[in-house]
Amino acid sequence: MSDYILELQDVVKTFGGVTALNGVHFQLKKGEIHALMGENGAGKSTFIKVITGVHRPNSGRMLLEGKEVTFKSTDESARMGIAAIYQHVTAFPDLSVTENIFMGQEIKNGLGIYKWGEMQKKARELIEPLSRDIDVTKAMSTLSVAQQQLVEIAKALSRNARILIMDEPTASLSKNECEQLYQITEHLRDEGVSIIFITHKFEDMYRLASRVTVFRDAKYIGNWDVDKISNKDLINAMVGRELTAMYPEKTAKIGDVIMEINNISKEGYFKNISFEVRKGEILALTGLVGAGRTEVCQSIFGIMPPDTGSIRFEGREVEIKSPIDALKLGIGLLPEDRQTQGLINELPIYQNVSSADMSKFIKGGVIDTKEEQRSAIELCQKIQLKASDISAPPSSLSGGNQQKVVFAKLLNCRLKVLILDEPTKGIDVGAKYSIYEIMNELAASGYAIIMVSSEMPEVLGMADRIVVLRTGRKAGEFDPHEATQEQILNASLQVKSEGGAKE
Amino acid sequence: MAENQGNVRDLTADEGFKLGSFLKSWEMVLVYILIVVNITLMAVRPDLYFTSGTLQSIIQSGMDVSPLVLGMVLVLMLGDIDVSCASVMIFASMCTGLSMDQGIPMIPSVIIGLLGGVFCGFINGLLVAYVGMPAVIVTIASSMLFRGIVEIILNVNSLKNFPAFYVNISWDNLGGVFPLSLLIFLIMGAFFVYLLQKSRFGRKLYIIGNNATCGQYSGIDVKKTKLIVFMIMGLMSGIASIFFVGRMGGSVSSSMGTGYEMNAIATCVLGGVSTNGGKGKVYGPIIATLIMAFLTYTLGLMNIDANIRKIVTGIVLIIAILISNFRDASDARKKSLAAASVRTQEAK
Repeated sequence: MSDYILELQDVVKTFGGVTALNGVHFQLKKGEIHALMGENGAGKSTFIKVITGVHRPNSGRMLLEGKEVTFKSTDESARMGIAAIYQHVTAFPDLSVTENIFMGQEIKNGLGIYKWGEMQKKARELIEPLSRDIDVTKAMSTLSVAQQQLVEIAKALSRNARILIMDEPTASLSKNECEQLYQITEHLRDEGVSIIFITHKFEDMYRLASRVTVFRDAKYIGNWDVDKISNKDLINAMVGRELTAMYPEKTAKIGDVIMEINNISKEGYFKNISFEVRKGEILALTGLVGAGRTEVCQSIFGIMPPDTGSIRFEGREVEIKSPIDALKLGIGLLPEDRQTQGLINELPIYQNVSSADMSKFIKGGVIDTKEEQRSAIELCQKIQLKASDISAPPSSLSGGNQQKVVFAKLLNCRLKVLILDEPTKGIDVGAKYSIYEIMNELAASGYAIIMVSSEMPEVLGMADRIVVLRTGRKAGEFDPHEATQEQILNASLQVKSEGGAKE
Repeated sequence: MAENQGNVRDLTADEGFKLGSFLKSWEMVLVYILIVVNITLMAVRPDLYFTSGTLQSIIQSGMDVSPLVLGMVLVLMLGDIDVSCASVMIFASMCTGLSMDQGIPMIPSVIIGLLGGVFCGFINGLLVAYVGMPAVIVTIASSMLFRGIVEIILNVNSLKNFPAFYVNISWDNLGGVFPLSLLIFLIMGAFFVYLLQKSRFGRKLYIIGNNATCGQYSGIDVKKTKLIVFMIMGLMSGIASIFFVGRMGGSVSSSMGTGYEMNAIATCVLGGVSTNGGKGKVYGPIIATLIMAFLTYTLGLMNIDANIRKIVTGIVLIIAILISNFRDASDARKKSLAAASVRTQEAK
């Protein structure tokens, strides 16, 4: 018999041409808390989905208590005692706690009628040890995020889960709630449940885990006993990439300050963020997912204007209440989600390109389609869009070319500042290079660029200056020529202790 | 897939006129349907069909709903719906009728009626765009509200004091040949073609109807645009009141015009406008308005019972929508195949 309750060997998972897991190993001992760490996009989420049967691996073996298993659905994995609790709770918000816990496994009498009384009693028995403040008859949406997670845990326990996967459970919890969760997690471990704890926070790992496995770039890097690895080595394991010549030569000359952000705050998202950006400069805004980067960009662009603070543009104090104001000033945003925010897949490419500023194509109250198409062709050639027909919809293009359409849309407006939110997200390596080239050319022609990115090499390779955000605050500003990946990751993570010993 | 290498292909704008695809377009299909209905009528009642005045009567019978159809095209384009337009139409009629009763001159009375319609549209638009309520709920509620107001004010009485030109619009033929109502409809239709298909405002509607979030990110004031569309719908309901009251011989009572909103929506859908928003043109609903007129009238001439007529109309609509859905699905399949072949070429 194996020592491990769950073991994965050489698991490979690809989506189309993208490899999400590349020969990954993982071993979970019975009754341990095992931390799984890695940067955004390292493959952690895909990994959970493979274990729970959402995705089926292309190759590799999964052993449950030494026996090989394959799951075709989440139901099968649940029956085998595997449960996952996601960062964003996937419950039914309008149903009661009891209904959520017994969803799919309702207790019925002989006639098939639900026995609510019994279910409520059982739900109370399950919830009581976890928290005394949860009323099982209340709707899920009336609970806090922490309480909802506890309900999910109760649901997992009701199915006799032996393996519990927790995906960044502490990401949106306060300090006290974290401590409660730690205690519950430890209690479950003592009961014999084996736990995979996915986290970004070193604090979580030191407090809970006995072992840690690190993924990077869809690959397995290694696993260590938590008390035997230093902080520095762990960060190295997480980022340790070589910066090769993946980034084009910089030609831009940095000019005067064009926009100053002074102490802007938005309740619940970020607080007292200040920075400035200059003409010809690429400023990187980095930090972990959820650190408030996208929200800061959306505030500057007027999607959700800041509560307090001020923005100076070209030396004048300005008020940006909507994207209309932002575009009028000359601030453009390349949104993070190009499918829902950047493109209209039902309209032809040229209409997408012109959509943010049609004024120059209006002649006598009518849109001059010929002129609109001519201008779109010119812009698309400038950014080397690979397409044959601009009357085709953007959905006919690859991810990289779709992103270029959004770039062309920005270039169609008279802009001075470009905010690029994850410009290379979901784009394969080859196409990334051409996006970088476009960024450099734009900077060289005088645009000020704010680039949000989670990818450390991209940040170091492209930026002239780096601003790091952490949980909605500015955690530091770095010069990429002097800063190391470790320093930046240190700033974005909540690293408390330096030596790596347990607190 | 090294996209930084290799030459950029020559970009073209492949939107030229192609006879093949034109003949297969939905608008042309509607023309064929219209012809078939005409031939049927010719075959069944040749005596009537070739009697002077019959065609004019048929067309006139379908024109009172036509302003509602045009307004509805814009509302549906947003992905919204307005089921209150028939009530608004009666409300606007009442505004004009009461003004005339008060001795207000004709032109101001007509304008008061139109403004009454715009006001109703404003209320709808405010609730949909700025309060964020679903359009179907808002307009069901406001439909009851507006008609309720009319019922309270008019009770069982009918208003009979309307401008004389109302009846002329609905019943006169230019030179004894061309229905005046059709001429006005075509002029309005031409304006709506411009508004939706040629102007910046129309482009905004296509953008919002397909992806409102992207519209917001592209600097479009989505809320304001929606409000304006509902106000235009209100105005068109006001104009419909002129056609309608004229059609009724210059009188109106509170219980009239029920079901007109459904006719308008059905006509738009038959004309190829998607209720999900962002799809369709104005030509289709214009032809569809004529189809509905001919269909209803032909069935009437064939001595088919009024209730059976409704059933037949319903079935025809369902079939038309099925055909249109089927065409969309096969279009989508062709497109995704084409896209896949483009991607493989890129990969090479």
